[in-house]
Amino acid sequence: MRGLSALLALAFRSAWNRRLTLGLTLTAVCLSVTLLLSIERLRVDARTSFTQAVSGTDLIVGARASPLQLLLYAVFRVGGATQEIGWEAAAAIDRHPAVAWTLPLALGDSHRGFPVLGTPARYFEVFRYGDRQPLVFAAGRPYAGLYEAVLGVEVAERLGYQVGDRITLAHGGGEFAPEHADKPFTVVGVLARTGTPVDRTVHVSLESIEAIHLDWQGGAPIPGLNIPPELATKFDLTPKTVTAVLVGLKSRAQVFAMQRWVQDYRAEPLMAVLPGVALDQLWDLLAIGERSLLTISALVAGVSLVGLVAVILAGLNERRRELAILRSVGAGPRRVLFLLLLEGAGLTLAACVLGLLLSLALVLAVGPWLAAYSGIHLQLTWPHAAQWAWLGAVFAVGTLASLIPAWRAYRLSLADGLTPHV
Amino acid sequence: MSLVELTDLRYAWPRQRPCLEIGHFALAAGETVFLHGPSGSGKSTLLALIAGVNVAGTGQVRVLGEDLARLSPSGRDRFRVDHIGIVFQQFNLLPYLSVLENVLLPCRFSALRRQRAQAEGGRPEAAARRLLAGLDLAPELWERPASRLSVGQQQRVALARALIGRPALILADEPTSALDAARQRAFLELLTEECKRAGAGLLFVSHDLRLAERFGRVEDLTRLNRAQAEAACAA
Ligand SMILES: Nc1ncnc2c1ncn2[C@@H]1O[C@H](COP(=O)(O)OP(=O)(O)O)[C@@H](O)[C@H]1O
Ligand SMILES: [Mg+2]
Repeated sequence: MRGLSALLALAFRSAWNRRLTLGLTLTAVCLSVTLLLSIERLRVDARTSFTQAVSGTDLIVGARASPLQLLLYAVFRVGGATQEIGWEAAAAIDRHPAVAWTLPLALGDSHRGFPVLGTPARYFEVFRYGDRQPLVFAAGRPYAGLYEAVLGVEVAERLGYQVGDRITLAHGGGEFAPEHADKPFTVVGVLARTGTPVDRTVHVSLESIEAIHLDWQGGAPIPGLNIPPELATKFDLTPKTVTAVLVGLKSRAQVFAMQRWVQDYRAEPLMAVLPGVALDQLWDLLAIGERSLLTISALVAGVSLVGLVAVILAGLNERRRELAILRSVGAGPRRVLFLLLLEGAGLTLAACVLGLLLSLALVLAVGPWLAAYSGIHLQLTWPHAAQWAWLGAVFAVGTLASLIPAWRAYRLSLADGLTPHV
Repeated sequence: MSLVELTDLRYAWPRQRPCLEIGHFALAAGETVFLHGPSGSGKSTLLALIAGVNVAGTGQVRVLGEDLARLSPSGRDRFRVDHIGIVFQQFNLLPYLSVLENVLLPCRFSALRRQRAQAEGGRPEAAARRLLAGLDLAPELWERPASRLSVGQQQRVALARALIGRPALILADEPTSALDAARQRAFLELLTEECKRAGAGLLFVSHDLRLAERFGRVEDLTRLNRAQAEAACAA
């Protein structure tokens, strides 16, 4: 087998001699592998991030609209509610014997682009995410009174807030939303990282939300009316409406009965959504985009593999002399075939490895930014099954494709004899 | 036993009329033969058959008593590197290897050639250096990439590669045609001298009869070859 190891060394030297053209095709294949892996990573990790966002909640109740829309704003803080539900309805659900707990949610305000959530303090005990994990405080405590806020870790880190800092909330979510400047909040706690939209949320009590809107109407302060923060306690701060209610049942078996009960609620049109079902709808919607992205990157990978084959094929004519020399020192035509196959397979393998490393580097570089602005947490881990599948596919196709130049080299070295007529 | 012996050889390139038909040709061990024939008469084809790169349709090609057609393809490849050194017309060297590495190629592919090179004293590299020095190649060239040498220098490196590890037979396919007259003469002198010193048989093919004087025997391929060479070979 000495001839074989000698041949391997020669294959490497020969490829190194043509490193510029081979390097360029290697780069093309490598980049398309990176593209494929990154899209696949984004796809899978977006799904996990979404699925992690809510756990242990049996129903989400809101005004009658599309279930997907309800899920998006109640859980992911995306979009907005077209309609609120009355406090009486929320209270009625809470009183229902099948219900273990409810969490009324009031959404709509924001702080420097981060959503503000009004909800009772029991949220920090009851709410579950991921695999039924409870929320944990990294610093401070839950809010107890008016004008106190608990920050998600992303909010605190991005804006550099600590317990004790003062912040003001803005009405609505836009860039130029008017501020509730007269009633500043004190940060009393920061939550530990969850990898869910909780990280990007500013939490306050329902009463605080009510208090800052006392002297507001229709999205603007009422002219001439200014209720100072201390005086607000004199008012009844029970909310009049909430955006949605998360419902936990005593027994999961009752989920459909409870859903029907909510749908049939007389006083106003309500809707109850199973989070899992709404998530499925979300997947269906996303699947179209995912598929087209994947198709495009598979095409890109295909094109660069064709380029690889073309480069090797185009170089073959100049290498006929080289192959004849190798034959004269004892390399048979099958060795020549093997040599070319090795080159193609080696290049694809190198491209796969480099592409993998590059995609990991990309996760490192873009991951934190993506987590802050979209809540999607990219995992810096060993490739998952689908990524392995893509890597395997690229390697297999690349190796198979390099059979074409290899086969041609085999034929040429048979047909040329010792003196190629080039 | 002849070093090379052809009997009733017939060969045709695929989809062509017969190119070679040789009743008998032999080359004794250590003999130097000049085989003359015009361009296109099948000289290179004959060398490829003797080297076992191509296999004759009918008839026998025996080298060192071995019937090449009866060896397996990889057996022929091994036989070639073990016993035959080849020098082409030009472009003999792998451009990405150094001069020394080019000379050592046969030792990398053949244990026999390596052992014989070592038997001359020390490592195969020592044998390669001795050959290069004997062929008048300055030591500062030895580590250079082969592609940086002049054509004449390249041909001498190719000769060193053909000779290393003392193969029994040297095949030379118009190795001087890219050289000017003075260098042709010098190269031929080296070639025949070195083959004599190594005790190797030499089969030298060329269309240029003026080069024939140093050889022990001169043959005319057009007379040997019963297939009416040029006309018959042309596609
Ligand atoms: N690899 C090849 N494939 C097909 N035909 C060939 C090949 N090599 C040589 N021939 C043909 O065989 C004949 C003899 O060629 P060759 O042996 O190269 O002649 P010479 O070396 O005497 O010039 C020519 O007609 C040539 O066209
Ligand atoms: Mg020729």
